[in-house]
Amino acid sequence: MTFSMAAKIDDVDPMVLQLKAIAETVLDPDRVVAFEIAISEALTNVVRHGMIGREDESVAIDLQPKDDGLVVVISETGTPVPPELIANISDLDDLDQFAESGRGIALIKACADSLEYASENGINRLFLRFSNSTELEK
Amino acid sequence: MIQSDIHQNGICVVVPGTERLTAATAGDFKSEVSKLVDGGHDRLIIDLSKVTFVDSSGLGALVGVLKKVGNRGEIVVCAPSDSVAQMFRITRMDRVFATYPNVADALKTLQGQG
Repeated sequence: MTFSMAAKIDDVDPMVLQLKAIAETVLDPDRVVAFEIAISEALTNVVRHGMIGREDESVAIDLQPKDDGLVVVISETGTPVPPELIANISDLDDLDQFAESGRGIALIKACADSLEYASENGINRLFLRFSNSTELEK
Repeated sequence: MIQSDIHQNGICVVVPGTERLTAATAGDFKSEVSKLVDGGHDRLIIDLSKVTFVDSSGLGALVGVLKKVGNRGEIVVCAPSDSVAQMFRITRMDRVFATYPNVADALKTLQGQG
């Protein structure tokens, strides 16, 4: 299933709710929470950073149900995330508790079972996997 | 648009006027609560009973208001849903914000301290 949203911050929440409704048919309730957090952060990052000023363009989200979970691929044509940022994602424990920003990527990493990112031929793709066999960190 | 209600000892209960405290709404929330703080209300209870989801921007707004209040007052949260409570746990915000099951319990504690 592939979905598309405009690269606007106001479009993130409606899209997250649409995707969450599908995740609820595949994932356990705890994993749905993780899914919602990770997808919300990922789409917000795309709109706030990669696609800033490009509200007329769109972001594609592909959901692929698997035997034990769900794979999500977010594709867009914005500014790529620097490789060093992906390679050095902080643990949430290492972040300043009183920081007002900068938790997004760490949250995605903490909530998804796997995170991969590739930028090729002008298209950036974020691959996230959510498995029912994993418990969200308590 | 937030709703605010002043109680005994100047304690202010704030209800965010949104079900989702996210990047789309966090800026307005922070701005409106900051105006309350600027108006002298520095003991705040954030009633999350109607909030179904908080993202990192929402947490950032709460932290921003907490920093604005500083040592002059305090901010606590109450009635988070399971998913909001989980977000607080995984980001360690449960160590930053005292959390109460409902407004009455939060009021009782803060009034006892006042």
